[in-house]
Amino acid sequence: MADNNITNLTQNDIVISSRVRLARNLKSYPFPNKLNDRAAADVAEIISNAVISAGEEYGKSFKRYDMTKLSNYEALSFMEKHYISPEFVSETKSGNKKGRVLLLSEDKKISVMINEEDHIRIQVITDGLDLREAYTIADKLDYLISKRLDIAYDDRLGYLTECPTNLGTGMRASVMLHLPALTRTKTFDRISANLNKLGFAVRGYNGEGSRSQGNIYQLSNQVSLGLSEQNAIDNLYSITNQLVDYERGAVSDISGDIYVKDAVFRALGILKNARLITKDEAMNYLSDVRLGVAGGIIKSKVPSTDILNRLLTDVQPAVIIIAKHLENKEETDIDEIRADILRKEFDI
Amino acid sequence: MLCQKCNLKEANTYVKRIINGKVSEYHLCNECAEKMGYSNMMSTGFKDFSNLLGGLFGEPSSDSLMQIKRCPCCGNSISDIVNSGKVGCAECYSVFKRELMPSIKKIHGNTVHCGKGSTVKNGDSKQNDTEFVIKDLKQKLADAVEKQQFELAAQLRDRINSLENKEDKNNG
Ligand SMILES: [Zn+2]
Ligand SMILES: [Zn+2]
Repeated sequence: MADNNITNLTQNDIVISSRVRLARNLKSYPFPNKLNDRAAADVAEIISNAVISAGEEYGKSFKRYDMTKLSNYEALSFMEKHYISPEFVSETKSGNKKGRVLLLSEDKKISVMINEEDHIRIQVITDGLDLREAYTIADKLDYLISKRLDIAYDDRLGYLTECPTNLGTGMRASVMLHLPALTRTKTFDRISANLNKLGFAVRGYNGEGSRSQGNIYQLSNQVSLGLSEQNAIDNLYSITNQLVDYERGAVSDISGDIYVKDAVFRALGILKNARLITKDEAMNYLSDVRLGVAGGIIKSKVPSTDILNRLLTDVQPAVIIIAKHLENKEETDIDEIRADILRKEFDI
Repeated sequence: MLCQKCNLKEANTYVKRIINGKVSEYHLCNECAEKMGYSNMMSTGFKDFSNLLGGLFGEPSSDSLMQIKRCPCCGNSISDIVNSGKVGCAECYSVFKRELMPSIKKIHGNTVHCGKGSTVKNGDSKQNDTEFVIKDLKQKLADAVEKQQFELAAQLRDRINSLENKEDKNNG
């Protein structure tokens, strides 16, 4: 595919997506961990109304989902699409958290989680490396919401949050990176330790504490107090650009390796031909194929970067179950459908 | 530990009293604490509670009473916050400012917000300057170590140490 222009701009072959999240709380209610069910429901109403009205002023319409009314698979599919955090799903499922509401924008780029760890979590996702765009949208919506609500803010500590790790800007900016060559050469482990020392956190595909799937990592800022949003984002850009350069270097170092070539072509063969494929397999083979494309190993036609990025979500189990209406079927059906989805995209 | 009044429920409210220099401690469950007007105390203040407790335990009302510090808005004590890792409400941050500041400083390496809504611009405060310098030096140190420039690394480490010491002194 001739998507080189896009690739050069947003590096979206390596940087799959960018995300900005702002944590905010109402001044006049205790934080979610101290809310009883009734107060949590009140908080949910107050904030929902404010966000929907703010959205109208912004020209964005939001759809409301009450988490207790969603089926488990619907909730999980939202998590797999990264609209909501794993915590928002798991604690809702165990039934001890009422008043959890998701507001999702029509274009699915903006989600507002109500009564997660904080009363308000605004999250904006953009494709490729585009943190500034994500921040601009989040900042605008935050401004419009704060015109309607009394937000907990302290002159010294900034935005007050349930967990002190989010004080200050209340912002976490993150990028989702695909780093197969740095992983294969074991370089990433070493880099990752240094990143932690520099105030960045490294997590897996599904966020907090989750293991890396398919050589995908989430890199985010750790420090939110004493560092402006702009500075935190600039730092993340510069680290991300360095990592992209390292990755590209590592790709050219290993692309001549016969073991790498073999893995790449095996992966391509399986994605084109398999009839049953698990999620872990899919994630790993997709990663190998991307590496093959980046290293110039695969010369034949493969799906575009945009489609490869979209497939990372499309192969997730709950996403498949919801998309294909399989809520009552067996696991093997999912593996078969996943293989179908992949074959269809790779049959070009 | 069980509530010392009803002996039925888990005690989660700790009350400390000093009578003629002798310290007495009571552990109460939420319900008993509430029955005694504990939540009232939160809004009406220290003295009312001391009277209530005096009545309950049959102690002379002139006793001095030291209640463990709780947030008047959400009822959290500092140990609730430490145990759960979660702050109860916005008010907690001013009630437990002294107790929370050291860990905030530890988490962020800084205790002054700069960014949206703040009047402090980037690098305006001295503290921020030093933080940035230290951060920059640490990055250089990591680079030097990676490139095996050990002499440079040693110099950088000395500078970082001296800056960090100076900063600790500034912050008391
Ligand atoms: Zn009791
Ligand atoms: Zn409180």
